[in-house]
Order: sequence, then C-alpha cells, then structure tokens
Amino acid sequence: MNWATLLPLIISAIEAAPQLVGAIEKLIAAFKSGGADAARAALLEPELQNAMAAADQALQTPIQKR
Amino acid sequence: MIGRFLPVVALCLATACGGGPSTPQTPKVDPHALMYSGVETVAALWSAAASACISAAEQSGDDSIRQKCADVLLPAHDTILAAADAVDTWTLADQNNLPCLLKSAAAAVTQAAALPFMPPGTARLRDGLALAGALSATCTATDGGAR
Repeated sequence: MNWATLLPLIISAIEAAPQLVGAIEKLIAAFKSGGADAARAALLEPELQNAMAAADQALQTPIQKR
Repeated sequence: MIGRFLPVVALCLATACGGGPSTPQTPKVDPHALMYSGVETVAALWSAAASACISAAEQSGDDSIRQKCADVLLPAHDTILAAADAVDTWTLADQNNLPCLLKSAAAAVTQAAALPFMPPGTARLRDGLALAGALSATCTATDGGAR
C-alpha cells in the first residue's frame, strides 16, 4: 500500500462519515510512522473498545451494588 | 483551420458536449473503508447510548432503567465486536456477514435510544443510524437480521 492507494480510501471514508475525521487522522499518523501494517492495526480503535468494555460492565452491574 | 473549430470546442466544453448532463456523481467508495466507518460509527453510538442509560439509572437510583438498557444493548455488544473483527479480517464470508451484523447492532441502538428516559436523539445518532442503514441494506429479512 502506498499513498496513491491510501488517499482515495481516506477521502472515501471522510465522505462517508465526516464525524470520523479524528479516526482518519489516527490512521494517517499510523501509516506515516509504521507503514501499512501499523495502519491496519489502527483500524480498531483501542479507546472505543475500552469505552465499550466499561459500558458493558456497567450495564451488567446493578446500581445498588456500586 | 484550427480557428474554425475553436468555437465548437468552446461550446462543447460549456455544455458538457458528448458527456450528457453534468450532474454530481456519487463517489466510488472502497467497501472496506466504508464498512470500517460504519462499524466504528455504530460502536460509538452504542457506547454513547450505554453511557446515557447508566447516567439515567444512577441519577434516578432506579435499577430497572439499567436493566431495560442491558436487555437491549448487551446482546449488541458482542455483535459489534464481531463486526469489528470481520472488518479486520475481511474475508469473503466476513464481507457477506457484515451488513446483517450492522443491521442488528443498529437496531439495538435505535431501540435503546427510543426508551423513555433517554435524552433526545442527536444529529450524530441520526446520521450514524442512516449510515448503518445504508450499509446494511443488503441484509434482507430472510437473513434473519444477523447471521
């Protein structure tokens, strides 16, 4: 993968979901620092997964037990 | 000689000669990039819905609020993670499965957002669900909503 192939992907993703500009910026940063493999690994946002895991746990815990 | 054709060329350029009407075209979007955006958007909406539920339950001290949200949102949690994994591995089976995973997860978010104690829907919620709806359009009722 190079910039010629990455750039259309980025533009397409921004057009499809403008609110994801922050995620796309991270993808660009990962690509610049580590190439295609790093960019691939950045596709799943750790922060989002952590937030989901915390919410999942909170949903399973009764209010009275906190 | 060339000068004789210049007005014709100019007229063609001005009227999109030979190319039909120049209407905006939908850009061709890479399917992987599109699905990535869709899954992450639904994941963010799920997280926001869950947080809003938990806040409402904690503020009121009413655990039935948490329970109602949990009934709707907890099954969707694993669905979203499965969708994220499918985007990451991106096999043909994953690509076929993704629309129904998205549809199922988006339906759960929609159901949670409609619960009476939830805050009003935001533009982010509306747009995110619209994106998920477009990406899951190929999941038909015969698919069962999720595979």
